[in-house]
Amino acid sequence: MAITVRALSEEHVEGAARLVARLKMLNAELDPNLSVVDNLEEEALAYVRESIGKEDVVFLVAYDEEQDRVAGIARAVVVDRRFYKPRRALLITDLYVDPRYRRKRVGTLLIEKLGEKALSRGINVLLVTYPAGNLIADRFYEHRGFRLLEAKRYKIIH
Amino acid sequence: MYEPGVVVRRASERDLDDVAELMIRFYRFNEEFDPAWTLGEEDPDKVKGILAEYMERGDLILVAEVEGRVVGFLRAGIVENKLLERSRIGLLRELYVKPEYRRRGIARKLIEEASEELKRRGAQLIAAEFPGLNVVAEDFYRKLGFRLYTSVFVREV
Repeated sequence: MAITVRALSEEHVEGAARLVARLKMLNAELDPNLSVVDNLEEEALAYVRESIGKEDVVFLVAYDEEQDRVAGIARAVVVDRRFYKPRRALLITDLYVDPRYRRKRVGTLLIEKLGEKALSRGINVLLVTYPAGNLIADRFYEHRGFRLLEAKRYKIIH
Repeated sequence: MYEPGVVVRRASERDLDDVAELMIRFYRFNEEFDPAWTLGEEDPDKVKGILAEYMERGDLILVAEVEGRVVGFLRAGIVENKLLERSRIGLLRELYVKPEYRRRGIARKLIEEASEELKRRGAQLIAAEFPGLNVVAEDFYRKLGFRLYTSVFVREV
């Protein structure tokens, strides 16, 4: 299977949006406080489209040439941590691999490529954010040397 | 907080569209844990057709309704091993509640209703099937008093 990782371009917007939507659906499964909006597909499409050509956003797609299908996506943003050294880091906001392409190192490949993109911009810290209930992500990132850094809590007020 | 009433009842032909949608969601979630659970057919109409066959052959299909809307379902049947003293097991094949309706005991209610019916059909044990890596389901069933009964290992051939 020939999987190549490339920067997102217009031709892969729909395939990438489909995976962004699936990632958000998975988050909804894992925590009722992450229930998705009714027009999820529409928002996912706009979200992906808005990422094209943005200086501080890196959006990669893992593409299956044979099947002409987007197999995985990774989106990250350059952040300024202001008070902490090093100030600049690359924050992974979305990383998802189509279940049909799991266990084929697609996720690892995406992380590696994000790392290369970061280093080429003089950034040597990768951050990632995902729901606390996502044990699949816990295992994935721990195996790849990511340490737990921050917590985020949620409360509805009346 | 206002908790609307939950009604659990047998699914009818009219529910098949709703149940098909929930069925697809159930498999999509489980596919996250193991790609061997990937649906072969994602077309809701085809899934609906398969569901109609299951209903026809007598599978127990229950739906949970909140304010007249189907928000969860369960499908179960009897599996048999004549060699065992407890030869008939009521097996929960699929169980799904929409995320926004979780934490209200809807799944528990579906299981309780199904257990009674499966017991009437001769089941001495109730079992639930899900991917080995689905820790969400594992935690859920343990909380309801289920224990690990059978491990099924697979490999590609």
